[in-house]
Amino acid sequence: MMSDAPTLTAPARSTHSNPPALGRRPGRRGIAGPRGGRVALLALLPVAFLAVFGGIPVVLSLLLVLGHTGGPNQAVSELGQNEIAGRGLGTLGAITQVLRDKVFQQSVVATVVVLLVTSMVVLGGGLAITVWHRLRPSRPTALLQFLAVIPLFVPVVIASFALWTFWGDRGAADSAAQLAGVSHALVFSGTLKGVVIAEVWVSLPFAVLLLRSGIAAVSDSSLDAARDVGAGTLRTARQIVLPQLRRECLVVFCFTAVGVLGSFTVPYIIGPSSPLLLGVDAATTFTSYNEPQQSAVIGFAIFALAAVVGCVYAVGSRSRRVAAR
Amino acid sequence: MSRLADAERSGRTGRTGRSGRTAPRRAAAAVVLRGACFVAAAVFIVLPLAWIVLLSFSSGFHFPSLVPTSLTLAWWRDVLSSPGLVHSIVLSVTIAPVVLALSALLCLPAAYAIGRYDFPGKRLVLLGVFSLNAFPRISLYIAMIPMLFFLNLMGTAVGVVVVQLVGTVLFMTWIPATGFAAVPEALVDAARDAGASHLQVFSRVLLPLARPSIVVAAVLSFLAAFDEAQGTFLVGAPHYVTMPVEMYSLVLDYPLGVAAVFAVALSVPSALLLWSVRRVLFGIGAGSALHAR
Repeated sequence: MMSDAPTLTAPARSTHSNPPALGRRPGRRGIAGPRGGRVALLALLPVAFLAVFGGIPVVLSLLLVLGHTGGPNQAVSELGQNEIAGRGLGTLGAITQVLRDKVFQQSVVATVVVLLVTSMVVLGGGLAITVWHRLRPSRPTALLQFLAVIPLFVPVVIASFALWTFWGDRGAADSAAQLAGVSHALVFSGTLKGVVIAEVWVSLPFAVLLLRSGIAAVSDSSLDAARDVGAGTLRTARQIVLPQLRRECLVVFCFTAVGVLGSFTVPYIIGPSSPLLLGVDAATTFTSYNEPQQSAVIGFAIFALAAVVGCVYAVGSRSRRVAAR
Repeated sequence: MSRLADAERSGRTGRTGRSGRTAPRRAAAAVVLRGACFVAAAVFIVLPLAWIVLLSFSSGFHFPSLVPTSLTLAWWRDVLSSPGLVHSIVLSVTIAPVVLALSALLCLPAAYAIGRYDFPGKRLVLLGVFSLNAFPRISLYIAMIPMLFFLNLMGTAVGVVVVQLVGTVLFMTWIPATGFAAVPEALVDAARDAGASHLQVFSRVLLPLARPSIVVAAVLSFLAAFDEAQGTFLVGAPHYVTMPVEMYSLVLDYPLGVAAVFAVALSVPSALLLWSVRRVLFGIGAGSALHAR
């Protein structure tokens, strides 16, 4: 997902008018001799690290899910509770046990709902802020774009705490509502609505930054032409700007969705104790119940949902390419 | 500015075409609507942050008043006199630089190779670095647990460093690599023609020109480690409770003022460091992937 989001061109102050992409450096093809080989070894350092602490662990974790509790998994299996071991090809015991669990089923539903609502709100809000500024630029719209990026500067654990107190019982929003005569109308901490609010809050900067860069590519002349034929702001947005932003919209939607899937801090602090979001369910299954195998199963359920989001992205970008032909 | 003037002008011409009465009313309604949207968005984004700053200096509130009964520095004194909280501050400011240094050692040579050389499997290397970041973060940490148990790293400082290091690899590899790649070939050739050795070309030409990207990568990597909460929570507990992990228990077990002070203290370095590199950051949008939720 990340590889599609930002560009692969130079982020720094470039001294090159047209910086080369990372993937290919035609002038350097000949170097792949003994020197090139040595250089390739340098590039392998982070990959080897990620393989040992990322790739191989995912395989081990999958083996644990399938009941292979021996070998490298023996250490975790000896300490964990409720292990279901299998022989030969393994067992689906742990998977079926988790799939039948009510808490897990509720978590899946809650996570999918929060994911869909958050992604749509983030996309809608991001579009409103950036398109508004592009079509009717003014100081307030510029300020709004700036404000929308502020959450980027705040660690998520702080954001979660701030939003938890702000939207909590007797928090600032509750106080304001009480003063306005509507008691308890704005208490969202401890609810899934609160999780959506916080997920939107932390996701907005990425949406705005990405949409802003996409919208900069919409030509002034096309906007002027729309204006000349009498199209209003909304119509210009719908018929001129949005069709050119489909790729960015798809990336924002999918990136936000995967972010929600992998989130723990936000739902842990703000969310209800039931239903849990999958990230919290996975973590607490390990930390509170000491069931690493079941925790790993939930981890893979999150992977599976992320794969579905990945498919949505693939299908979306493919149908766009077909439409472009 | 000229676009603004254009918009104003076209808005005016648009309005004159309509009937005299409805046009000003519609314009007024639009202004009110825009104002309301702006205020709602500003409240949504900014006020929660302002609220915790206020909490950190307030002795208390008489609900539903939004004005504190009095201002105080007592919460700040409480935090600084609590050994547990001070320990987590010390731990955070010790571990994050170690992670940064290791990340630089691990990734900068690779960034140089990726940015300046073409070799078989280069795309695969980039894909490997990126793909791990495409995984939902919490499930990746969960998947790491059996391996960390096997290597006897659970509940150890090394385990915490490893889990934080994973989050820095993308920044430390990709951003400096684009920096190295952006150095014009002509400059390197000119230095070689003038008799510069490989080392001199690297230290006098490549490194100075790639420095801004390395600085940005360092800032992002430092903050990725400094602000990392969920992986450290899973791997480091109960002995290695860094500042962000401490926030989990502060929210539940301490007075609100103490948690607010801790939150403000934790966000100041992040905000300042990110602000210092905002121009480059906004250009690439890379910071958006900084904080795992």
